[in-house]
Amino acid sequence: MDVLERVTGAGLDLLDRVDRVLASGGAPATDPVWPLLRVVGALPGEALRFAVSLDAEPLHATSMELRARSREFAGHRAALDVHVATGTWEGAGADAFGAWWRALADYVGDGTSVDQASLAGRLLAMASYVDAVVEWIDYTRGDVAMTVADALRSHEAVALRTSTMDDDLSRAASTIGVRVLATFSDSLRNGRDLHDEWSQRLSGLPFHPPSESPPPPASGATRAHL
Amino acid sequence: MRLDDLADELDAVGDELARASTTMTLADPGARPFGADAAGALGELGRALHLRLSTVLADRSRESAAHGARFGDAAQSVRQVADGFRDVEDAVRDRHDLGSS
Repeated sequence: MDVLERVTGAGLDLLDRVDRVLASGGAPATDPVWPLLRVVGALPGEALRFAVSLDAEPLHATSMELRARSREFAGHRAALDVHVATGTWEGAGADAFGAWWRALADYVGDGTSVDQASLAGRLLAMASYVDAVVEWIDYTRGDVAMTVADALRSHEAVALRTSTMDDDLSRAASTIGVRVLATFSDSLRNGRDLHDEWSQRLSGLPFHPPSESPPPPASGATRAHL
Repeated sequence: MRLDDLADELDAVGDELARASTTMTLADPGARPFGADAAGALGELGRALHLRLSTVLADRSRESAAHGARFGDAAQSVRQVADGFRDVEDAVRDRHDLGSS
């Protein structure tokens, strides 16, 4: 159980009260809560439900699966690379095949870098992207938990539960709403940055064949193991 | 290594790449862990983060299948080379047999 799960029950109770006050028009038109509501597009209680729904566990499994695939691809390539290097045949056909093999092997990649333009490299990059999303989820859940915990301890929380004065309720809802929505606004900005940052590193992978044709049947060959 | 063995290994790796392409999208955890069900900008972000992953999984699946086919083509070329050598060997043997008879 993480910190957010510990404060979810009490947090939803408090923020649902905030939502009801704000939804019934309980803040002046110039209140700082309104611009934040427009940015986040959700009331504080709805936003908390979003944070609660973020689940890093399945993404951990996805990242591990993608790294395993990358190692698997690189392993296939390495095993065949050894066999190709044994010199199965010599001559023009062998040279043409060598160029083709290099292009085929390079496209598979060796899985040593997320920036390598290869299948293994892109799989590593995808795993790193998923890891970055997991990190964003962990930060978001942690930051929201701290903000909600602070809100639960605030005198505005007491006012929302006990006051019958509209002005007190409005001020309390706005103050808590601003704190909570500002946290989500930061999380949104970080999440969008993450999304944009990875767009090029995950892009499609065109295959570049060698300029030479595939090996012609026995053309110009001088020696082969049959 | 013999040319036929090399062709078999190229085929085997091609088959592995093709097989991987059919299971690649199974790594997709779905949109829910990204918070994609939420309303507003938060839900939009969750859907965008998931779409990025599902799109590139589909890309890698397609690329892996296409590359598997290239390995199959390379295997076929190597087999043709091996067949060509065998034809040459047979022709030389026939000529030798004719010459010695």
